[in-house]
Amino acid sequence: MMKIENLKASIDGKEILRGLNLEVKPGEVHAIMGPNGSGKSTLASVLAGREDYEVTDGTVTFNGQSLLDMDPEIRAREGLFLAFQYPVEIPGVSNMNFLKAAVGEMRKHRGQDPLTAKEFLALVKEKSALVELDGQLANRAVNEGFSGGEKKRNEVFQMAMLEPTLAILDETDSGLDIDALRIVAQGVNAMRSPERSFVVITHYQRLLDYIVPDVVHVLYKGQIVKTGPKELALELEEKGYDWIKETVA
Amino acid sequence: METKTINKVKEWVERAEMGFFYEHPAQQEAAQALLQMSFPTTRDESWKYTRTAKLAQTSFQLELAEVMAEVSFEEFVPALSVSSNFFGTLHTAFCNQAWRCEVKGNESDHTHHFVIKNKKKGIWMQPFWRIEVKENARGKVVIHSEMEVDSFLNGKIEIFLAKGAHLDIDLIQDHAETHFHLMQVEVIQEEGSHLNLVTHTLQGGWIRNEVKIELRGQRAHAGLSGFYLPENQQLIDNHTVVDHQVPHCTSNELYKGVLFDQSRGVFNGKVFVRKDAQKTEAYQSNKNIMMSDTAEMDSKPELEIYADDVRCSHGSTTGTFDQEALFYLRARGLSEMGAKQMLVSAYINEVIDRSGQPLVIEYVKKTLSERGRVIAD
Repeated sequence: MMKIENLKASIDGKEILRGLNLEVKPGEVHAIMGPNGSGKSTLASVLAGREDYEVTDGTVTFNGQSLLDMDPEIRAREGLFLAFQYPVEIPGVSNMNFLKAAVGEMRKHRGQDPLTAKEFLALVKEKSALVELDGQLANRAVNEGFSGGEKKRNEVFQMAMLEPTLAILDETDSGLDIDALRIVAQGVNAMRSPERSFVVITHYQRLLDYIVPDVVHVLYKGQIVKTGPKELALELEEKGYDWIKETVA
Repeated sequence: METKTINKVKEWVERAEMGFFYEHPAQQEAAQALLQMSFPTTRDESWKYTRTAKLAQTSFQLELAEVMAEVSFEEFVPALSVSSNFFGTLHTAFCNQAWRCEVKGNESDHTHHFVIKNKKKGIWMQPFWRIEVKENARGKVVIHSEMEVDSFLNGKIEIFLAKGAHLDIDLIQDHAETHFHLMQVEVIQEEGSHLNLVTHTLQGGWIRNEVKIELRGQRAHAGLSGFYLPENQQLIDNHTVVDHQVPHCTSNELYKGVLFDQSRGVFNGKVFVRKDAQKTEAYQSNKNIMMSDTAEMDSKPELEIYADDVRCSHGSTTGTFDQEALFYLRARGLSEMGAKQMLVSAYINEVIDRSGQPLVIEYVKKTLSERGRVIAD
């Protein structure tokens, strides 16, 4: 599904990713853990196409195509989804209009007919229930005045609406209380399928109690320095990142 | 040098070959005064950012504009007065069309609709409107200007709101790039009256709106807002003055612009709070998004407060798009163009939605979306 080879990226001349390798196969859930400043969010941003970052080396193949050559919207239409760590508030743009436009673009790209208003509303109802998102929220402006938990649930709701093949969750657990965490995880788990893959980026092991990964990677100084089964997350939780730092050094 | 400028006005006035339309002494007087005046230049403080040279160099023929008005607007002979500014004086001297509309009862489910058009090249129009809302009456007015060819309109709208009167008025400006448009709006508000004025500048080559509001009676409220989306080399200038003369009045002002290409925008908002106008609440905001490096916005809020127990604020922001918002929308599959249109729509909808007339809101949004300027809701 996605293969990252020797990816190097920098921002303002400072190298953050220093030769990162990762392969995600269909249906797999990969967790990427690492201390602050290790490059976790940079990886998510580079994959989604944020222009602030400069890719200096390496390749990313997504379903056989070069991901890095695509504009952000093309990546999205090809099936990549980024759940933002800090979803932006957009006053004046209603969630519904925004989603209607986004779903419309996805369907057009896939050669599907546009949804009728009725079909669209039915889909909204079905998918918002997944994350226990109040119907009222869908009518408000995008993320405006949403609590931290509502914003993250809204991200998962959008993911459910857009049905990506690869979803990257960037610290989706940050700022969530235990109930919101459970709801967000439940939404993600409902979407797990043999065709859909996830890359779950997190600082803490806690989220991985709910979204159980197939593989855990440790990112440190812009490289994957350790890969292991889900138990690796528990080990990190217990020993902290210093243990990894020492191992690498 | 001085003689030359005087001659320029004289020439321009003569070239237009006008006579006096009303037998009103103010017209003679104004015409005399005009000969001592010159077109404002960028050396005049209130014309610092708006050039009149192109207008001054063009010859126009004074004629009547085409109008489509409801019977509620009737032609009348206006009480003209001599103004101190150039375009006001010009208006007084050569005003040739005037209508008035009186709102006497509660007419909130009816709109007084006035359309002024121009399909004839090279003409100069000098219309005048007087709108009077009587005590405790409620009215809704739309003045829609559709100027299709090169021409000049120097217009004036006088509004009087009696005690407890309520008026929703929308100006819809939809003009060819070759049209020059100057509109002075003068409002007097008595006690407890409520004004909601929204200027929708859909398109225009050279537009200058001057709105002046006098809050003369306590507990009066003035809401004024406007948006502009100039492109190419268009210029849109909004000058406002809100004069709080008595205590307990409120005013709320919001002007927003999105500027494309080499277009220019000007906003100058003055708020006066007189010595006796305690407990005044006056808010003013001007916000702009620059869509190109070559567009220019000159924004100047001015507050003059002589009372000590007031709540006033003003703010002016001019910047580029919220890049985070743009990326967020694109990351969900919207094209860059589509995302920008969506953000522009959201931005100016805040102004359009302030209109007290749902039909106007619908019309303006529909028109802009048909022209690809925004995305419809």
